[in-house]
Amino acid sequence: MADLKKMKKEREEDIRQSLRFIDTYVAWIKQTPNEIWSKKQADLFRSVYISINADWRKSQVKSKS
Amino acid sequence: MDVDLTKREIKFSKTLSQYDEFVIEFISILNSLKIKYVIISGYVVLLFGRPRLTEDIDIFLEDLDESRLKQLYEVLQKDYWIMNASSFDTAKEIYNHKDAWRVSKKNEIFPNMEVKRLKSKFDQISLANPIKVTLNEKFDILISPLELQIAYKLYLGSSKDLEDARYLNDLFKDKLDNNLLGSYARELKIKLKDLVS
Repeated sequence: MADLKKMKKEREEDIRQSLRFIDTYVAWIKQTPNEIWSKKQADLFRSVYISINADWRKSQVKSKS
Repeated sequence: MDVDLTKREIKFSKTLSQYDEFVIEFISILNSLKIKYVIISGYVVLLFGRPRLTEDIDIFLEDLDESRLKQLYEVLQKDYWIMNASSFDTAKEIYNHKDAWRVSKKNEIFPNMEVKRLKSKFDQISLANPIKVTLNEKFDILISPLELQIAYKLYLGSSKDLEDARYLNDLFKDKLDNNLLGSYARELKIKLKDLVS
């Protein structure tokens, strides 16, 4: 039988840890020049953008053929 | 980052991301049609550097009568597609049901704009009291008040929403109006404990 109490505690601890990571990340953003963090962010988003849209276009071609 | 929330303005420069470019292009259409808008939710944290993904960008528009709605629909047809409406009649039906249009660039699916109608009192507050974010001294983007964003994210309560709330609070904590944040928290019946360790 699942220990729901324990699972709830673990979930709460997971959330606490992820929130602590946010604190660390914001501290990094605050001390990092905008051009550096924003370039990294833009690179990340661009790669996802290219990948998702390429896959989607392929699927559209397949569904038409 | 030059933040002056008393003037409801934030100005800063950054390398524009795919999301930023998509938003800037989309709101230029709204501006050209003189349609009031405000951007809320996930994009607001992305704009300020959070490296998380979202497939959609949530935007509220002021209420539009049929002729303005049709004008918007027709202008969008040029470079965009409304994923959930293949004709104006369907788009109008969705709009009249207060559901959202999903709008993306033609031949693309990501990112997309979730074009929403105002439903709650908080949606109205967002539209009436936006913060103007000026990027690279060139592009203005209107976003929801940060205090409301934070309170509303806490109200939604998923891990992602709690993280977003914490992110905005951490980043802007010296600039926020804590009385305003407290009043939203009371109205939404949420506690602010997740904003601090």
